[in-house]
Amino acid sequence: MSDVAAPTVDEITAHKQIADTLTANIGKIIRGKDEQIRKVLTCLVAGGHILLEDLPGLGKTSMAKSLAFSIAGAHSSQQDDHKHVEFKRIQFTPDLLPMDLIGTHVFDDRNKDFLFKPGPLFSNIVLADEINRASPKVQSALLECMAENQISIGESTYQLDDFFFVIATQNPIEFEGTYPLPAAQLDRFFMKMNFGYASEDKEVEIYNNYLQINKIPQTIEPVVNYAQILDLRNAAEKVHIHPEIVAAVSNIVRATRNDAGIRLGASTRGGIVFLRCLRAFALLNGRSYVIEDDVKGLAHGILNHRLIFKNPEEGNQILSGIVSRELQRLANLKLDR
Amino acid sequence: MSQSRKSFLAVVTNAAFKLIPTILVVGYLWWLWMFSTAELHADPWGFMLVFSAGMIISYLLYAQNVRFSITFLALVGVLWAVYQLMSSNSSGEFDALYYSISFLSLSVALVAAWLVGFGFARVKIFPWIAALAVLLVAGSRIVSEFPDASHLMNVDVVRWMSTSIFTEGSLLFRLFTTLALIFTPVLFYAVYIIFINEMLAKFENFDVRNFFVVLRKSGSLAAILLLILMAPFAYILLFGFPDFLEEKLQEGVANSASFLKKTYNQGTNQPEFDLNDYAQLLPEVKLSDETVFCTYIDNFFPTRDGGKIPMPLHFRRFVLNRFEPRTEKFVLDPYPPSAIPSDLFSPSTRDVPIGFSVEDSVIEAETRRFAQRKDVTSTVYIQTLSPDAFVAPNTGYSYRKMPVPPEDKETFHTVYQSKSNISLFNLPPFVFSSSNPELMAYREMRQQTLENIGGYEKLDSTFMRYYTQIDESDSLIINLAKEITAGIDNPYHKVQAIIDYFFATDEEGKPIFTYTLEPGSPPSAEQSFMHYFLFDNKKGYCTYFAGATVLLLRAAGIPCRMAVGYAIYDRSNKNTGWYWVYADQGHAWLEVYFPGYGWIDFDTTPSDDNESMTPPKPDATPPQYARSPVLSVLGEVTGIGGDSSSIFIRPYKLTYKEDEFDIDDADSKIIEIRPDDGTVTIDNEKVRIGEFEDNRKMILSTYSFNYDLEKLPKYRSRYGDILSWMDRRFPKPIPVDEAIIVYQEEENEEDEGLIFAVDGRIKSFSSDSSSLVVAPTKIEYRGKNYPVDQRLIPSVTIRPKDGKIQVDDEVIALPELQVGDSMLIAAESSDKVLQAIKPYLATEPFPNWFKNSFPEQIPVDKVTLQLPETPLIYQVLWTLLWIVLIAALVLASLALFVYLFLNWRIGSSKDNTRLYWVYRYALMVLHQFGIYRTVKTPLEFAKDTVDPTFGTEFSQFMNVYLKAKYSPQGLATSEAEFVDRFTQNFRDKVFQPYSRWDVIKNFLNFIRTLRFLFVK
Repeated sequence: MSDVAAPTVDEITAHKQIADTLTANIGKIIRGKDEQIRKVLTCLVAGGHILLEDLPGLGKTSMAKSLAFSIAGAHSSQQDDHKHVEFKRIQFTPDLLPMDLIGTHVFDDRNKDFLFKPGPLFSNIVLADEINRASPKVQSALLECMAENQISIGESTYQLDDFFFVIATQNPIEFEGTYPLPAAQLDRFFMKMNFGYASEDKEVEIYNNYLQINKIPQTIEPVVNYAQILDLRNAAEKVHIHPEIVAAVSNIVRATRNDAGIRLGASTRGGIVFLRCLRAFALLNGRSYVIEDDVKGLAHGILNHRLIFKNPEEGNQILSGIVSRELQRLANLKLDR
Repeated sequence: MSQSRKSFLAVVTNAAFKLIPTILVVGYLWWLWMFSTAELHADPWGFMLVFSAGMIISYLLYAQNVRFSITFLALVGVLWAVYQLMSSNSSGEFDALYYSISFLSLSVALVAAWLVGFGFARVKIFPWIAALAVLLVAGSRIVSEFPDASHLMNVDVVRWMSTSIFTEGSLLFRLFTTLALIFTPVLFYAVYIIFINEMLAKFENFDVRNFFVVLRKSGSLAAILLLILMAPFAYILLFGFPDFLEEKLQEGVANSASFLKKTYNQGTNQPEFDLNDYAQLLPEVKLSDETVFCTYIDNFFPTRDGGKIPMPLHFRRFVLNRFEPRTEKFVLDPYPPSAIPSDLFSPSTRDVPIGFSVEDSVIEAETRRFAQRKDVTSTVYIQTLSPDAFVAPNTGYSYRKMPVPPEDKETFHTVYQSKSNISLFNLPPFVFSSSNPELMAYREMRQQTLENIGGYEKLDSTFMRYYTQIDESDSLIINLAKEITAGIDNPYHKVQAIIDYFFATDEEGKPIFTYTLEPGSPPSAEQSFMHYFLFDNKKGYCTYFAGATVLLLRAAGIPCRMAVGYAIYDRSNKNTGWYWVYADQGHAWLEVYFPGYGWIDFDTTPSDDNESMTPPKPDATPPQYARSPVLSVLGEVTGIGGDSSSIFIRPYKLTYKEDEFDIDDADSKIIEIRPDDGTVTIDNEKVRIGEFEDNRKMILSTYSFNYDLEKLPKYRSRYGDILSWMDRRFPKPIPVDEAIIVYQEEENEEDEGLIFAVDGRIKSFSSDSSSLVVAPTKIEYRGKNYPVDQRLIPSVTIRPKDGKIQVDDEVIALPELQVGDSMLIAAESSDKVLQAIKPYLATEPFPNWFKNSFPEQIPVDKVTLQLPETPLIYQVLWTLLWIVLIAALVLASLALFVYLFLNWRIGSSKDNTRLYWVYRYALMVLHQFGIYRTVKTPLEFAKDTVDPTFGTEFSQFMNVYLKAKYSPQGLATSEAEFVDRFTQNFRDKVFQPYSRWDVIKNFLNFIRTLRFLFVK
């Protein structure tokens, strides 16, 4: 049982309202991908980062952009630039250097001193495009920031904003000249998600939409603000997780370690991330408690990239097997309280 | 469940796990069938090859969604065309004809296999059908294995059960082995195929790992099944037979494998020996050495010097006229043709009152016709012989029960004296090897006499046919008989040749045929025991020798029959004329008929070197010679004397100094008797006079050795009426040694009045249709059953008082009855006329008494037409059918039960528990309609499948349920109200699209219910 006072019905409704508004707003741009949007938001609310893995041209960048444009900045003024939270897009290339991300000290002629020029990471939402194209050095610099929420350069340490959300993307098809992320690094991402093609009717809708309006980003206005996002994060902490759900998560994580088809199982961190995401996901769905469907909805996104399968082709199937076994157990469970 | 194409691996796994066992079981059943019919021409391997190939190809084909109708019709068409082609081209040519027939049978196999393969590939419940089909086939095999089971069942189930359990060749043994041989593998298969089907159905995406799961699980199932099947054997191996079973088994084995039938008296628990009225060839028999009886036979050979040589005679119990080749049994023929006179005297020994005798004048007259005969009296002191058995030398015709001498009452429970009219040519075995000149001369005389009899031409043909009847197809025995008697014309010489055949010796002087109690079984199942004995083994016990001799003699045209009883040997020189008989003297020999001289005993069993001449234990001292009492009276009790020391009786019958008197009711005077010890024996217990109730009708038997009576002269008819004379001369009350109540009227209220009952076959109607002539099979009189010899009581005429007969449940008038073949009826009566008849007291043979006492037309109260009794095997099958039906009923109503159960749970629980039951209920109903949740979570299932299909609010309910399940908070009021409404709404909506018939159909699908309940 959680020690924190349970959120009231009104609070829950309010939180759901925020999530729904945000989803709807982004949905104007990213059509037919409500589920993916919700998962991105889950990561955001859970305080993690997300890795989108898919072919180019399926809306990964749009996703990040529209998310950023939907959230009003903390210091929002009348100026156009600060209308929404800060958003930076970094295109990762092999010649990218860590300082291109985190910033650098430059010599100030006037003050005869070194002045810190912050890099693009000093932002609220960062889109790290094609992360696997950069050298491991750059990758690890990024990942350190993601883990610590701070940047150390020389002797000085710079704190990043509380609202710091990295959306990394990578292309699963072209591996030439790439540096695939090692498993330890992948572990830092709360979720890895495939975007997937839009369904047939949604795709037609996208085309029609494009023909009517040519400049996409302008159509979107911020609908929630910075503070509300932080609110959501706090509220997620209070979502109730039934001991049986915890047991199910634990069972799933342990099962990945014992399965004959999996070479490397999920870590304990994986389990903790799972629980955090479950809370956020439940909250976004307007619940103050986690249900079995949440487990099903998130298991793949959270666990798939943490596991090394003997035969990657079978990966999804093995994981499905493990998860559905637990889900069956939960479904048949009779809980009398 | 997707109906789409299955993966190749899944197909192969299905094929391997379902088809291979099917091929094995079909092959096994086929093999069994071949084994039993042996008339099939098709090559078994060819058949199996075609069947397996057909099934596998068809399975693989139809697993790939190939259309059935077209392909199947094409196959049948092609086969038919080829067959037509073959048969049209082959007219007259044997080979071609043969091939076309083989082709046809193989085609049938192929088509059957094709259908089976299709079934396995496409029909979900086919394994259930297959399991049922093989069980049915196995069941029919068992029925056909016992075509004559009904016959065996009807003989005497009780006796059969007690004697032949577990002996090789016994019906039960065969039943057990057949069940084990046929049913075990089939049952095994049925369980397996259903299990594997249900398991394979669970996998949606089949991969290699699943294959190993299946392999492991099916392996463990097979192991468990084997374990269950083997458990009894393992138990027996480890711990031996359970005691109770062993007792039963040993008793059964002892009874069937010993020559004698051993039972235990229910009152005293003493063993009682009797012989079976059949003799069977068994692989092994056991003998025991208990004393059965001791006897004094008054039969001696007088020597010229005034001495006498004791001549013991075989004591006969039954004659076995008929041989059943199939079971290799010699049996007593209960219903021989009427031309065959019976010379087997079988009095109701148990019921004969002490001091009285029963005689069969027919048998006596019959046997007195023959030459070289004399009467011999033998007194039998019974120790463990069954009280129902009458044994006496051939041919016994009289039985007199004697009081047991008081000094020997501890040892012997009954003494009787039999009179036999024996042939002087019945000689004990020692005479044939004796060197006594007088005996040798007598032997010579006997031989000459018999040689001069000549042939059997003048004998009655029925008689001749009956006693020379053998299995005509048994050419081996017929040829052997021809061989042995080649060139011999004289019947006696033929007999002698055949007897000598069994006593012949080989070059070294060793006998060719030897005696053994353990001849063993023939090595091949096709060979009969008799052939094994005669041609290979040449070892056996008495039944083998007597049986083989009978068959050979009959084959040679000599009328003969087997006799069973006790061989009597003179084994000690003390106590001349006394013989002790032990259980190991149970014996079988044969009787040969010589015209003019009757049945003469022959024994071809060689002596068992040392056994037969040395008794198992030293003979005891002979008992006191039993004397006949001077007076015995049988009469109805009329009262008790004033001082309770005497009884008044009205005599029916009395014997005085060996003379027997029947007293007519009219002449009867009441006499008073006084037992010495003041007691009366009722039901084997001594009761003081006055301490028993005398208000019922009782009949008392009493006898006296009193000297006062002894010294009186014999009664002469000129003295006047016997009772008056006794009244004058006898002391009053008459002192008697013992008084025994031999008959008491039944106290039973329910049966009150039921005097007489008869079972039998309708022979004809009387001309006015008021009475029926019945050939009786059983007569019951005053609560006792009497066996009926149809030659002695060929018919009974009964007259239903109301002129009606009961058929099934309706009562119809007699003239309306259509007389068919062997209509069995049962009639019962409590008529006053019959009430007035004196009870049967075993002082004369029952048939005689019956004819004399009963009216010509017996009035009966009720006649029922009996429907033929169902044989046991059909009863077993009926029971099985019922079990199957009940199981089917239970399975068919399973869904309903579960449905009602869940409804009840919903009603009886509350809060979260209630929600759980509503949830289970909803899933169950949907599952029953074939809407499976499979791998969806319940909420997804509700949202994606159920609500769109039925328009229910199931997803909303699921939300509430999940909240109740996982949230720490209680339900809101609105939610609780919603749940209250939900169940009814859900039910209405879900059932609405289905017609009533659809609902029934879906709810009958118990496999769904089972899967819902047990497959998680």
